[in-house]
Amino acid sequence: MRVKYYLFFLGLLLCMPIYGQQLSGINGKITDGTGQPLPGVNVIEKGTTNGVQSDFDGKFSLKVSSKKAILVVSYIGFQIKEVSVNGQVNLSIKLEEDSAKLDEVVVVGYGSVKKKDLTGSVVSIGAAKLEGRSNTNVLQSLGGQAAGVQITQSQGAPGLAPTIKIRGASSINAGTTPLYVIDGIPLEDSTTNSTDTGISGGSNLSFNRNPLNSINPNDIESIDILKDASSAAIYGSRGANGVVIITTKQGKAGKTKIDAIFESGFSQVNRKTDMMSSSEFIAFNTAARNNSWATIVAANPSATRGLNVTVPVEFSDPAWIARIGNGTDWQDVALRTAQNSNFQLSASGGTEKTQFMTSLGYIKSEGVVDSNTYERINVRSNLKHKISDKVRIGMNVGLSRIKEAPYGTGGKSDVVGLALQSDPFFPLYVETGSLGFKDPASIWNTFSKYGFQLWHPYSLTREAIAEKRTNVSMVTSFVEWDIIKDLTFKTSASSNIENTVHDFYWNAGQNWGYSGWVPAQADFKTLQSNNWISESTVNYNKTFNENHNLNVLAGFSAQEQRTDMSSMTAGSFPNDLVHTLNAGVVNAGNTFSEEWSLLSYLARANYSYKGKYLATAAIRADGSSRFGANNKWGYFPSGSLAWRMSEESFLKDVSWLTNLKVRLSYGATGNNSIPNYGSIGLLGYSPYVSSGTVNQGIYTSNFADKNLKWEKTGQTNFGVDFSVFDGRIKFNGDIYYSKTKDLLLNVPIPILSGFTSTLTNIGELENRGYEINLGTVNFDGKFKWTTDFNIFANRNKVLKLGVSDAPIDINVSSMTSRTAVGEAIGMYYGYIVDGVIMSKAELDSKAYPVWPGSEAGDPKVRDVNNDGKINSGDRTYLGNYQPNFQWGLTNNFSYSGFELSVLLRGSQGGEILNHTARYLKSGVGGGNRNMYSVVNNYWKSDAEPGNGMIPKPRMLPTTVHDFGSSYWVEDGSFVRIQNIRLGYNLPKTLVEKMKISNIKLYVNMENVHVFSDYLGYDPESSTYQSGAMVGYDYGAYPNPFTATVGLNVSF
Amino acid sequence: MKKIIYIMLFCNLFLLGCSSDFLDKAPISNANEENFYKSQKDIETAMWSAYNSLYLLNGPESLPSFYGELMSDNAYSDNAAGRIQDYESFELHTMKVDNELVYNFWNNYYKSIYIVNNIIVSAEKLDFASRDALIGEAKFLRALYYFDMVRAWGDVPLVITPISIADAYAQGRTPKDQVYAQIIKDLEFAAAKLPVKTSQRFVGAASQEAANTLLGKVYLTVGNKAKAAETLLKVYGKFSLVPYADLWNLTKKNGASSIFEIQYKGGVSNPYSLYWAMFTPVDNRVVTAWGGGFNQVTNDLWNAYEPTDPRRDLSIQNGYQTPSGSTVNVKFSIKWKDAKAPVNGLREASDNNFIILRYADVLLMLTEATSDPKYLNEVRARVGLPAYGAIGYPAQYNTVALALEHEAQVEFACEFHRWFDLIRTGRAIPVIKSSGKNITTTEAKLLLPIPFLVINQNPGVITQNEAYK
Repeated sequence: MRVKYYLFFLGLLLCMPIYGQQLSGINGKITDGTGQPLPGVNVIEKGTTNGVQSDFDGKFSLKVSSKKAILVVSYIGFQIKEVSVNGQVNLSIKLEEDSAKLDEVVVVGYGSVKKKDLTGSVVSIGAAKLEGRSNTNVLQSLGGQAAGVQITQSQGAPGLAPTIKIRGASSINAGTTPLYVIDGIPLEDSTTNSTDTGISGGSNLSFNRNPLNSINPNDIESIDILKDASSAAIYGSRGANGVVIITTKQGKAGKTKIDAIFESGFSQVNRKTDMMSSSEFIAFNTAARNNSWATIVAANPSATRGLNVTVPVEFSDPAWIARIGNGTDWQDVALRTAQNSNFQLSASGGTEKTQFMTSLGYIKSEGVVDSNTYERINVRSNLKHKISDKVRIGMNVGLSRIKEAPYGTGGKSDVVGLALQSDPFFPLYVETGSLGFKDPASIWNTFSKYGFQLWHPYSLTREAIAEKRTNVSMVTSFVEWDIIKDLTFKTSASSNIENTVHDFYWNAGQNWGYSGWVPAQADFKTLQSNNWISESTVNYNKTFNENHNLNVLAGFSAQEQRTDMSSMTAGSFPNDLVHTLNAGVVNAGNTFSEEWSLLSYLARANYSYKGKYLATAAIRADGSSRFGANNKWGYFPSGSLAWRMSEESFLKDVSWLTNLKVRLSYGATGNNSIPNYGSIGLLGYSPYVSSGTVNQGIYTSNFADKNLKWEKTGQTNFGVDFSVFDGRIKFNGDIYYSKTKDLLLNVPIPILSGFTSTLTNIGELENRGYEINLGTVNFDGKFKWTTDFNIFANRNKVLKLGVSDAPIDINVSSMTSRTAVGEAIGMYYGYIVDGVIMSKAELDSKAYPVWPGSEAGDPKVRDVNNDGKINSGDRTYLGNYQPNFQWGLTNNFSYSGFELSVLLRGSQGGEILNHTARYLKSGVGGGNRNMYSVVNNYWKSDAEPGNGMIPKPRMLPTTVHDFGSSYWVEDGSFVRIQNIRLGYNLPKTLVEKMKISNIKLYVNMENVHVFSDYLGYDPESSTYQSGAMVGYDYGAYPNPFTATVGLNVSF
Repeated sequence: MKKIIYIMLFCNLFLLGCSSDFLDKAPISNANEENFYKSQKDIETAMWSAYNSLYLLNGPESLPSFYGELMSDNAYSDNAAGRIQDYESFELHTMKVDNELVYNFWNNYYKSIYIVNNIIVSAEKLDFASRDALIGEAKFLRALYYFDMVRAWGDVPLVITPISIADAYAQGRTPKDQVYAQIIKDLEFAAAKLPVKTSQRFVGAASQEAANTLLGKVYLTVGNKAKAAETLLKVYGKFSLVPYADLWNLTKKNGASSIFEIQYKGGVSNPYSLYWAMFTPVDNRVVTAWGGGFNQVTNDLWNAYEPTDPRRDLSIQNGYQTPSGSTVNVKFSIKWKDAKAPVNGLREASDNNFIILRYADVLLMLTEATSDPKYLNEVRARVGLPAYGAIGYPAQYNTVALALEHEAQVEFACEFHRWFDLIRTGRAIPVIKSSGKNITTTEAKLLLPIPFLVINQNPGVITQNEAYK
């Protein structure tokens, strides 16, 4: 309230002296959108200096010169409104908040433009759409809110960044992550896949390095996403995957505003995976052992029955089985209900000369996986000072410290995936107090000889001690100088320093909880990254003859980064008392460093004629240390045109039409995420021993390619924006076509050359798609209801691969990912299984060919090439992760202090490769792993074939049981209730008594429910985040449901 | 204020001025190809990586191991994880063109040959005193690799210089006679230029005797017994037979019998050997931390030993006890036992070397080349067994050829000799038929398939072996 009081005086100062004839007296009341009175609002009769300000109740009286006078009503933070008096004497004026107005400013990189003047395709998301979301990374709040921007939370541990893809995947090997520009500092997302799996998964320091991980979402003022190539081209060789521009909050002149936020909540996995109970598993495993033995003995009647196909005596003992009961659901051991809390304090304000914003944030979040925790402290100070009328300086400092215990984040063979595979009949603790049956002193040890499996979750979470600590400091300072009128020079220097340390220790033997007794081991890893950038621009902005506006920008930037990594491992610890490496024997140590540098020149011109015809042209030249000697510099031009048809005279009088604009653009962008030294013939190291000495040898480890360069994307975009009925219905639509050339591929070459592949710029692919945004104001009174809907689709197709267009196959754990001409990137490739062979009679009828050696109950494989035989020639495409279309729907309701927001998000038509099905659904008991409960419906006999989909249990695979097939591919479509926020603003009258300007109570719920048929935890789960293996779920960390209660107090 | 602006402007101008250097970033953590292979020191450094290939090409999971041992009557596979059928198809002779192990072997050989070729071609451009001796070492290794390849695959593409991608596409399979000719040429060069073992460059380096021993074996393989005898006699008497147990004694590495031996060093951060970890019974967790189950010993091999032959119990362990007291009946090799080896990821980081050529081999080959059993009898005398032809000699080995076959089986048990020997002497087909494996095979199926992926990549140029068409 005091802020408004202050603004009232500010308004008085601005108010001009009152002159002129005063004929007609009018009274009025001014309110905001929710009906609250607005004091201190300027009311001026148009074309005069006659005006007043509203009082504390929002009321004013004014004498105007004529009954047809027009009042101009303005107030900071609200849209200016013109009101015709039309002879009325009592006016009720409602002001709309600024955020909804057409004159909204969009940040476009090295500057900003008014939204109405935008010629490219840019999504702008303000703080209002991000408030109250309990996410650690702001990208998580964008899901479903921006057309054309796919946000996928592939793993659900706190602090793990989601994957973001803007307008599909434009690259196979050079990365698909956008460029992040944080307060002007361009930062590449150098995240790699979490390829270290299992216990060491969390220790891969190159994984989860999204630059926004260290940014406090509460500090963010706006996020602007440059989607089309004409917008992104100003970032040249780094723009091909789009650009995400983050602007942090700045203080505003006025009374100091203090905000405090307290949040507390919990997370849990509501969507558990249905696994077999102990008794079901015993029945299944018994059948598997008997079936395999039957096959063996049929082939060789004199064979002896091995332990791997022998049924344990206990399994035939009903009393024993009854005693075990349901056994242990290892998911319940691995997962928990996790607590989280968040505390935010910020102050902002300043004077006309100096403004500041400073904030402190503290988040503590437990993961739903046992022992997994995440803690972050953020401090930020943004300062701006006017030295003189012509010179301004400023500085933004952001510091963060993250401490996490990254259990379960390996995404493959880690806590969660292994818990699902563990056999349910084992107890939580065996009678000796050990975790598992491998303890030789335990009676349970008798099961060792049969090959049963247990990876006790605690052996990975409580017997291991892991901690990762990251410090990030991001500092930028700048000077702006108005050299002459209309010409501004700006120069800035920034640095981003990142330091990460990771400790890990695994207790000796893991209390017998792991699949084998592993001796104590420890490792220590560090990563240091130093990035600095210097940028200078000159900007000339002038309007000629009222009608022609020209804005020209030219600039220069130099950026450099060095990354140093080290790792050390130790073993032979005498006991588990001390976990640092000095207590054991260091057995490996390594350091590695790399650098890159980028030099750029850029220029852009915006021209508009009468605000009707708009044109933008831009070019950037990038020189990069990564490019080969023959291709040091790349040039990235772009151009765009827009026509605001609604400003034309023939449409000006159409009263219901608020805005109509068409846009057309073309731009060239690059992707420079190629290896730092890919263009240079590197030498590798390999040792040989002599007389007990290890001698380091050297050999050539890759081909030199002096022509190596960026991948180049050209994109055409056509868009229409219109809004009608005073902006109550708004529509934006875009269609685009982009073609990427010079794709960096690891082209397979004959090994006779010494190498199986070489990295070359060869290959082409295209992306085409559409994006539609529709916003409506359904009710606009005391009860307000707005709806935002977006839908977007992208089709990705490979056009060319290498010299012979040979498909690129990646084989991982029996599944093939194939990238081939005419198909999308990373197709699942394997056999099609059409259920099972239902009976012996069906098999004997030879109605269809079968895999050699098949029996009734074994998988029925489709003869894809119709050659009457089932063999490797019958493999085919089985789908891919890319959806046909995605959509988001937000409904906001407000009614006298209450606010409700519901965000739904959906994806249709993508497939997920359930890689855990390789064990959990295979029906093959050879690994002695637990199975999905759907496997209970397995083929038992000709008379009892189950549902005809699940093969007969076996211990040993005989046909395609362990080959990648359609049996592992599931529909990835889903509808998700992504977010529900309910807020209540305490009545002003109440809070004013407490000398507080606002108190808001709210409940925030993330990932409320997923409608999906997927057998695993989440249809968006993926072990890999980039490249051709996205969509492979090999036991990814589940995405939990999170509910938070919050209190926001503003002073 | 103006000062700050000037300083910043100055900095920018400075950057503009040095832009060309700014973009030159040489690798920090990798050496750069252009400034290497330029001196004697560089060639010597490069040679370590050439020898490093031996770890892969003659390790427990290598072509000599699976072709030389697992395909024979000596061994079977009992591994539980991975592509079981790929291992089994060596054991049971059910080889298919998509066997991933065969594909890996193919790639590993050509990667190693590329490293050697690079060294030879680079060294030939230089001039220093020990140049030819170093080239001799490289050529010895190249001959060793091609010899294993030509025996397993028949005709193979013969590449003796680094070649371009286009040339790699043009290169088809070279007839095996030409491959053998190149092997002989390389070994003759090595034998001429290499120093004798007593003055070898380092312990474990290729020597004149190693070249001659291998050359002798090559001559036997191509059927030139006279040249074989002549070559092997150059080595005869230069070495001695150490007590059988000493051959794998960790304190007696590179002993008086050793002609060419792969050098390992135990410990998890060293290039350690994996024979012990991989040849012990699968998932035993008693004998070793885990156990790979490769090349388990068949009853045929166990029974081949004469009752008083001490070599059996020095070579093979029959069964082991579980902690619960039960006995697991499985026979496995203990030649590379290293009880003190530290464990790295469930595998013993063992210290044992692996002997590729040793003196007993020279002696048996001399008998094969000359039909004179006296060399053979030296080997038998070493373990106190009756000489061939003497009283007490097993009656069933009634020819020198059969005596040699028997002696080599037990002397070199588990050392990757058996199947090569049987093929060389033309005995492979009947022996595998009458063994416990009872496999009927043909001459054509004795060769491995050319990997399907290799043909697929370059169809028409690379052809398939007859049995797999």
